[in-house]
Order: sequence, then C-alpha cells, then structure tokens
Amino acid sequence: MNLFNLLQAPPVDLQDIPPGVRETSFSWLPPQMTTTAHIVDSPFWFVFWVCVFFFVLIVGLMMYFVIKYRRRDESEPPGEGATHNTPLEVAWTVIPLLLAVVMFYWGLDGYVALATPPSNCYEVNVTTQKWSWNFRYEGGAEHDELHTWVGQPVKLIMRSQDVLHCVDIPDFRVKMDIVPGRYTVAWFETTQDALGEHRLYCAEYCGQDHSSMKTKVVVHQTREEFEEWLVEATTYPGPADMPLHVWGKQLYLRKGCASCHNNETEDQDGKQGPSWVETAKLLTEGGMREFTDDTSAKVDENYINESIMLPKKRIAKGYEKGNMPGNTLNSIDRDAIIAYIKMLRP
Amino acid sequence: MSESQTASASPQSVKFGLEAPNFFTASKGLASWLLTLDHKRIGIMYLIAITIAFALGGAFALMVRTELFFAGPTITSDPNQYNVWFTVHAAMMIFMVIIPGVPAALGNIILPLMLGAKDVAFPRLNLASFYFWIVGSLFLGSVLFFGGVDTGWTFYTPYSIIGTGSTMATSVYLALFGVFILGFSSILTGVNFIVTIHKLRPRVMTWFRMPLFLWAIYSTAVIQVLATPVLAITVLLLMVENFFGLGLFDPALGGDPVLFQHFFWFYSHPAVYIMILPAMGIMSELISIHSHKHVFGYRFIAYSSVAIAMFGFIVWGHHMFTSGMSGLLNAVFSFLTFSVSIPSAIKMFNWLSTMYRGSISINTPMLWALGFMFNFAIGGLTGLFLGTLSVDIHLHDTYFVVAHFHYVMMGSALFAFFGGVFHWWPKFIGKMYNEKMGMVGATMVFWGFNITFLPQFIMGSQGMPRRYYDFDPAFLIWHQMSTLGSYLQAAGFVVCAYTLAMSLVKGRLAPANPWGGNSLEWHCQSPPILENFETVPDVEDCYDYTDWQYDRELGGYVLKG
Repeated sequence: MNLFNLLQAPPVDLQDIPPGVRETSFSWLPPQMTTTAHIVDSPFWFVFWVCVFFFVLIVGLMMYFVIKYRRRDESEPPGEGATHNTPLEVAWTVIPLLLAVVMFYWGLDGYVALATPPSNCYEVNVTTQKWSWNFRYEGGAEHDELHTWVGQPVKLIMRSQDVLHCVDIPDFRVKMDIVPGRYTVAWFETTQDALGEHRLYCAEYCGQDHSSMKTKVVVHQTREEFEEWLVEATTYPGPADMPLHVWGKQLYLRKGCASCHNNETEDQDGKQGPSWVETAKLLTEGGMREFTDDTSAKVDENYINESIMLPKKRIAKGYEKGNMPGNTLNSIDRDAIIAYIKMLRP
Repeated sequence: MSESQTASASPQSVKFGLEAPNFFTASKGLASWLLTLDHKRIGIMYLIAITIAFALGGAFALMVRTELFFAGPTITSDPNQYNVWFTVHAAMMIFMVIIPGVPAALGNIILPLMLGAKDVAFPRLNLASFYFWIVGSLFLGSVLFFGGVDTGWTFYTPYSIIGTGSTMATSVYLALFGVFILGFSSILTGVNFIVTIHKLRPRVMTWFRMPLFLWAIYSTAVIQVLATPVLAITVLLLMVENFFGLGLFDPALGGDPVLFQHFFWFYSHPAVYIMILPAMGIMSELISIHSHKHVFGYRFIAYSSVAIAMFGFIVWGHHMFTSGMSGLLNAVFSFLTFSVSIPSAIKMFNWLSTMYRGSISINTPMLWALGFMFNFAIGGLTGLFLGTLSVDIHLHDTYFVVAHFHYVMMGSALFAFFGGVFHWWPKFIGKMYNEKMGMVGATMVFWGFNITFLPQFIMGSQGMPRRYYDFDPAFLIWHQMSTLGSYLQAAGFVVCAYTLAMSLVKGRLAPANPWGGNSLEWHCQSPPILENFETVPDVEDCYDYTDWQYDRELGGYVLKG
C-alpha cells in the first residue's frame, strides 16, 4: 500500500455529513448564519491581523538578527550595545497595553449582546443527558433535533440531567455550558442564509459517547413550515392506538433508554446499564437481582417500577458505573416499558 | 570518570573536570545516589525520572493522534479507551513532567551553582521532595493497572464524582491521591528555593545582580508555595465528596459543579505560570549567552517575572467564560487576562533587543531558544483571541484551545527545558554532545511540532470540539496532518535522546565554560566538585562577557589574563 492510499479516508456516506460542513472551499471560520455571528467574527479578524503583524515583526526581526549578526568565529568579541533603554521599553509596554484595551472592550461589548436575549424570543427548553439531546417546544412537543425558522430569535433554556454538557452550534457562534443543578441560557437569531441544516455538538466532555452526542439544527423558511413540521414530527399515535409493548418500544427509543440498555442480546454490549433481554429473562424465570449493599430482590414488576422511579435507591451489582437519571414516566408509560421488556424474553 | 583515569591524568587534561575529582566520583554505589543530599545528584535523578514520564506521556499522545488519523474507529473501537489516553497523557505531562521539569530537575542542578552555594538551603527536604514525586507518580501511574482515568485531567464534577459519571471509580481515587502527593513535592521544592535564594547568595550578588533565571525560579517558587495548597484542598474536597457525599460539588446533593471549576482553576491557572516562568528564565540565559551580548533590559525582564507571578493569580476565570458564571465576572476576568499578556510581550521584545547587534552562535541550545521565540509568539498571541470575550465564545473547548496551550506548554515550556538541558549538559555531565546531531534533533522536533499543532488552530476555528473520539469527515485532512506531524516530533525526540546518550559514551570532555557565559556556574569545573566551588569568584555583572576569550585547544572559554 503506498502512502497516498493510506491517506485516503475510508469511503464516507455523504448522507452522514451535515450540509454545513460539506463545502470544499477553505474558510477559517464557519459561515455566518445568525445576526450575531459578526459580533464574534469582527474582533476575531481584528485580533488575527494584530497577531499576524506582531508575529511577522518578531519572527522577521529574529531571523534578520540571526543572519546579520551571526557569529562567524568563536574568537569574535561579544556584541556591544545598550543594556537597556527605558523609553523604548516603556513604549513596548504601553503599545501592547493599548491594543489589549481595545480588544478587551470590543470583546466585552459583543459579549453583552451575545448574552442578552431579546424579549421576543421563541423559547425552547433543552434537556441533556448522556448522550442525547431533547428539545421541548412551546406547547410541549418534544424532539431530538432543534428546529426553528428564518429570522426568529430563539432562546434555549437548558438543563442537564446528569453531568456537564455544552451546546455548540459553530455556524451560529453559540456556545454555552449546560450545568446540572441550574438553568443556563443561550440565544440566536438566524438569517436568511441559514435556511437548511447545521451542526450541533456537545462541547463539554461528558464521557464515553461525548463525540457522538450531536444532532442537527434545521432552519425552516417560515413559521408555518416550522409548525407543520412540529405537528408532523411530534404527533405520535398514543398508547391507546397500539399494543402496549409497541408503545413501550417507542419510549425505549425516544426517552434515551437505548443509550444505556441493550435490547438485542443478554450482554451489556458496551452499554452501562443491564440488558433488557437479561432483565426479561430474570423477570420470566423469577430470578434475583443482587445489590451493592448486599441485599437482593426478585425481579418483578415492582422492581422494574422502582428502578424507573428511584434508579439510585439500590444499585445492582456489576452496574456501579451506570448513571440512570430519575424519570418522569407516567403509570401507563411504565406499564408499557414493562410490557416491552417482557416481549424481549429470549 | 574512573579512578584510573583520574590517577593517570596528564597535567594538560586537568583542565577537564571529568578527569579531576568531581561530584560523580565523590562517592560510589547505588545508595550514594538514592540517599544523596547533593543537589546535583538529586537533579539528575529527577531528570531520569522525568524522562521516563515524558516517554510514557508521549506514547499516550501518539496513541491519541493515531486514533484520530481516521474518523471513527482507527486503533480502538472503544471511546472509553481514547478518553483514558488523553486524560493520562495530560495528567502525566502536566503533573509529572512540565511542572517539576524546569524548577525541580534543572533548577536543582543549576540554582545552587548560579548562587555559588554548596547546596540548596534544605538538602534533606530536597531529597524528600524527590521521593514525594516518586510516590505521587507511582499513584498516578498505577491508574493504568486499574483501567485508567477518563475524567480529563481537569476532574470536572459531577463527572468525576463516582457513580455519577466516570466509569473508572478506583483509579479516580488513585489519580487524585497521586496529584495530591505530587503537589507536596512541588510545594517543598518551592519553599526550598525561596529560602536558598534569600539566604545563600554571595555577598556581591544583590537582588538585581542575580541571573534572570533565578528571578524566574524565585517567582515560580512563590506561586508553587501559594497556589499548590489550593490544589491539595480541591483534590481533598473532591475525595471527601466522593467518600461521604457532602454535597459540595454534586448537584444531586445541592452542590455546585461551577464551584469546583473555580477551585480547580485557582490552582491550575497559576500552574500554567509554574510551567512557563522558569522556561522564560532559561530563555533569558540562553539568548544572552549564545548571542554573546549583555541581556537587554534586565530590570524589565526581572519585574515582568514578578508581574506574571502576581497577575497569574487573578485570571483563573478565563477558563470559565462559557461555564454559566455571571457576565460581570466574565468581564472582570477578561480584563485581568489581558493584563498578563503585557509582561510576556515585554520579555519577547527584550530578548529580541538582546540579539540586536549580538554575535549570535547557532548551536543546539540556541536552536531550541529560537524555536521557543517562534512558538511562544504564536502561543502567546493566540491567547489574545481567547481573552477577547466574544471571540472566546466561538473558540472555547475547540481545537483552537488545544493548539494554543500546546504552543505555550510544549512549544514554549518544553522547548526551553530542552534548550536548558543541552545548554547545561556539558556543565553537569562533563561531556560535549555531537552538535550537528543535536541541531538535527531540535529542527525535527520544531517542524514536527508546528505541523502537529498549526492545523489544530484551523480546525478549531472551524468548530472542531476537543476531547472527541470521532469527528466530522470535513476535518479529516487537518487531523491527518496533525498526526503525521506528531510522528515527526517523536522521531526528533529519539534523535535528541540518542545525541545525549552518545555523548555519555564518546563525547569529548567538556571545558568549564563551553559557551562563554559569565554567571557563576561557568566559573566552576565541569562537572563541579561535590561542594561546587573551591572559592566563589566575585562576579558583579553576570551578563558581561568581555572578560572571557576563546581557547581553541580547550574548545571553550577562559578568563583573559
């Protein structure tokens, strides 16, 4: 295999690449897709050119001195010259100081705008857990993608169920930590160019699947299109419309259970919680579950119900690493989960 | 080095320290090293230990870079493994290599020599610091046998609180305890150096006649003594939180994760200056001696070291601009952060002015020093992006930050460290190394380093988040450049190690003053005798090189007349 072949990436399915990163032309910064993106970019370029100037000055002088004053023979006398020059030294103290003040002020001024959401925002409640996003829209509909429409200021009110996360939308210049135990806020107003899809990352390290904790932001043309999508995407048939275990599977996929519980084989399959297939087996065979406090319990409907409602009350042996958030499933949903688990019996 | 060599020394070769009694020949046997109170031997043991830690930490860096050669799985399909690699890489490089690197290892060897002292003020305490380092490192290293730590070196809560986040419970305790002990090693070294500089200077060496390396080491020692206890407290609180669930940092118990970040960075930002200040001290020596010119603006350089040490304490919040901290605090920390950029700028311009109209030798130590100037220009200037509040919002937690701090910690602190090792090697080993090979090694590391980290600025600006096992294929080309650069660096370090190893075997004997320096360490024999000096010369201006002239036969400098 020659080196060139080695450098070729494995084939990539273009479908997997969000459109925001598909352009081939080079650019330093992502495209500006919000009314506030320039607030980040203008000082960026100011600092950039100041840096280029000083870098060229410093390295240029360094190279010039190295060549011009190179020591041709060890017997040369030491170089002569002033050992200090106070006005000069004050000059290169004060000039950088002035530039720093400009940068500070510019950055602060922009930051205030970035940190102050306007009053006419559409509010989206964001809930994160390892390693998934949940966006709850006005009216209560939930989805794992962030949708909005062109020209609408959107305010994200965010909380975390477990560890630190961070919402990061490079095209929007939005980044804010999501801290368990408090709400944090971010906002943006998309421009006409933003129509389409954008990357949304988790930028605060959160463990195993940190790098796959991403989703997309979809910007619709109009509020009507957005509302249409919202109704279509979030109107599920309810538990009344289908067998209970089928509803249970929907919940498994949608509520984040799938991050930590395997539903295919009896082993954990690299996930942190017990496999539901194993649970199903214990449930139907009347097996016992051992806990870290050396107690044990029969795996039955009560046990599963308790595990959903009070996941940290008793930790099953062998699953100390798990971290299940307390849940808000109603009783029908819990019935559905139990029904689904029973269906998974091997 | 052997006795027969010493006995058969011809009158001519007595000029070379290795053929005369020296600290290597002063006593023999393993115990004479392990229980030594001699600062030079302790320094050499530090150097050996740190080299091992550096090789280990470097191996983890190469594994991280190799994993990122392709998007998706490359050498492991388990993201937890990758998370362990970058955590262990950072923890080892910071706590076991860079923090003790210049002060404890090089400082131990050079500081008493520069002062004309017999030893540091508290030799036993010095040996104790070394063993604290060993024990701490064993704890930190032992995590590898317990599955590793995956919390990141920052131990951010609540992820690092067992049961909430990290999948590796036992090793989090071990790592925290290791860091706790390593902290004590650092504090004890700091106390020792402060007292040594205060009490053991020769009479003619007033504060403003000290070599600038000592100003830097002194400022560093002050930070070590004042900041490191906060790390110890933080780590202790985190352990207590883990054992007893006090509810300090764990939101499930009413604690606040942001509080932990304040505690952590209150130490870890000053720690950045523990790493870079002594490196700047080395730079002031290297640039002046190898430019054969009096250092320019001594007082400004000295004061700027003190200023950096002071400002360094009040800028920790700039690590937390997106943490949910109040906007007012963000503004204050941004302002203070810019203040710390000024002393660094002063130093750069003073070094440049030192080179102006000098007589500049191009040799291995000087190549490392020039590499420092280039890298620190980039590392320092890119800090301005991150200090600017609005710009930081976009760049925070991206590869831009990764590149920035590697330019400062590796491209600057470690470059100066290696420059220092090559600069003082003839002094404490007594042998010269192959200059050409040393220069090849330094050049390879320089290019490798820049090829590794320049692309990271670009992908960071484009939005590539850090600590990612997998990435969008759009960033592929930058990751691949970066990985190839890291291999070139590794090869460069192998060349450097080979150069130094070969000098032990067949290097020519080193003269007392191979470079023409005038600080006290160049007035004593290479390698020094156990007590360093027979008589301490009166040197009023250690940057005045006019009294020395080159002796071709000796291959070094001798005093005129």
